[in-house]
Amino acid sequence: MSDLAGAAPHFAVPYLRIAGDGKPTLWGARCNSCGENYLGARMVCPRCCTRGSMMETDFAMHGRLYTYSAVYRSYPGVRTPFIMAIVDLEDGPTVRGTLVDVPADAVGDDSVLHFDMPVRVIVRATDQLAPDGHPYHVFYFTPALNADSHPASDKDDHHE
Amino acid sequence: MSEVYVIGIDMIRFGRFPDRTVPQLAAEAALLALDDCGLTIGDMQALFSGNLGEANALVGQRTLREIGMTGIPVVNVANACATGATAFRDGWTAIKAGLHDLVLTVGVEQMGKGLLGNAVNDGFAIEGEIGSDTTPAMFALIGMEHTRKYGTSFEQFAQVAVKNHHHATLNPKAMYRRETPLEEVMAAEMISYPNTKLMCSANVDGAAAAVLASAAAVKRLGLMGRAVRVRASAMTSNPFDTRDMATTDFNLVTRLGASAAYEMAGLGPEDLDLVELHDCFATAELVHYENLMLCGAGKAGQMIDSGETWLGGRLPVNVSGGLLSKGHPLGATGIANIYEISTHLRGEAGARQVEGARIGLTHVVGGAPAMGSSCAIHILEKA
Repeated sequence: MSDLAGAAPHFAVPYLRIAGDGKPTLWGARCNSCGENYLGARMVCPRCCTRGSMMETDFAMHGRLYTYSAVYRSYPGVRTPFIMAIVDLEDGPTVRGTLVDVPADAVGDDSVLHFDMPVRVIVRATDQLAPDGHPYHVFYFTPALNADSHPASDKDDHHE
Repeated sequence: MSEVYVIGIDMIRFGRFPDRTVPQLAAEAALLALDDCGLTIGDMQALFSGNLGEANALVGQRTLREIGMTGIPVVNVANACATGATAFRDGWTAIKAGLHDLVLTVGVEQMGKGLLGNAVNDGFAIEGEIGSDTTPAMFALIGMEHTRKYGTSFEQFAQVAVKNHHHATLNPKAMYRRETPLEEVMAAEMISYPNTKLMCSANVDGAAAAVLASAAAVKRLGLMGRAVRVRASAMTSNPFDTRDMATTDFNLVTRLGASAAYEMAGLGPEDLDLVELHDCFATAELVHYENLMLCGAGKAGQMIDSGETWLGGRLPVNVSGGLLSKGHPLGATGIANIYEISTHLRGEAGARQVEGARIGLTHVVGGAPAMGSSCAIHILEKA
């Protein structure tokens, strides 16, 4: 994250911001009434429909890999393959992103890439430029090398 | 409220027709369906026209310009891959409401080749940076989730493509009619693991149309002999699911739609003789075996392994060749499925006929990442 030294970076999505400690964070809303979490601002809770219960919050920048796919064919100009990852953030929403630092052909090698694998959320500059000429920054997932013993997400207990 | 019947239904052979226009394709299917019941556009009291690609361009009106501008009410319908079935359901609803007793429903699509969409968000191209918006990737996730829960293998998903490509060799209206052995399916170009190119539905041009009638109209016209009764029509949008914004839900929306359809029809999956479900990708077919309650939770892998869902098996699924091989012109598929079931119920399916078919189910479901999904299910019965 050293490429973020200096002016606040131009984030590619509205649900990334700089937290109070100066580090980038995913943020969103948590419902006071049912406890559900969402990326970005929310007016009304889509789960319990309660109004006036949404509390703005920063989310933990780590979680576990719920599901993923290695994408080999994409739109013109997109570098492939890449790994699309669906991550359950710890005490946070489920987020779609790209898993980096893992080769796409690792799919099938459980020692490298497996369900429930702990991951960290990192922010890097992309090679796309915002209108002001500065690079867009976006978040990615990377394997959490020193995995804490975070318990598996309790989202698996929800209806499937 | 009246029972609703399909009295005329047909589809054009799916293919690539770059020199035709969307209304021309729609008109061809409409005339086929009208001829199928011996009626004319002048007999129709409303038109429900499903199309996505030109959704804001009055496809219904332009279709009437091709076949007869009678000034009837036209509704242009767009509802992701459930578009055609939604148009059909709107026709059903109008008859149920007693508003009309003869309506025309049409689904049509003209598609380019290759992947759908290309999301750009405020000048930032999402693709590859924040996962993928491509449909093969969306449905690869649903397959991987099934693998996570039940250990379903790449090979099991690939068997769906083997089956549906085989079925299509018996369907003269299918776009692709070529056997694809398992090894070939698994060795084909990987698009998004585990979906290879042969496990992805074909973007094709196509149109299908159905004439719906009230019970009184069917009797008045003397058409009960080949009529198909609509036992149920159900539709759902994606209800809240904690992961729905990240990975579009196609499971829960289907399960709820299926429950509603079985309840409306007063029957269960054990009563079905055949199913045409939404196999936009091979991974989708397996999860829908469970979503439609054709088998128990976690049993989809066993179901494809058993051969039960092949023609000749206990419950044939996608004997038309499905979206994988017949093709998936987005707006047309929802009516093309109903055409397939109806053809079997009428005993007119030729080489691919499911013997003794009396009750069938059609299922379509579509959606987009971080947007939502729509599912429509119909249960049809020989009148």
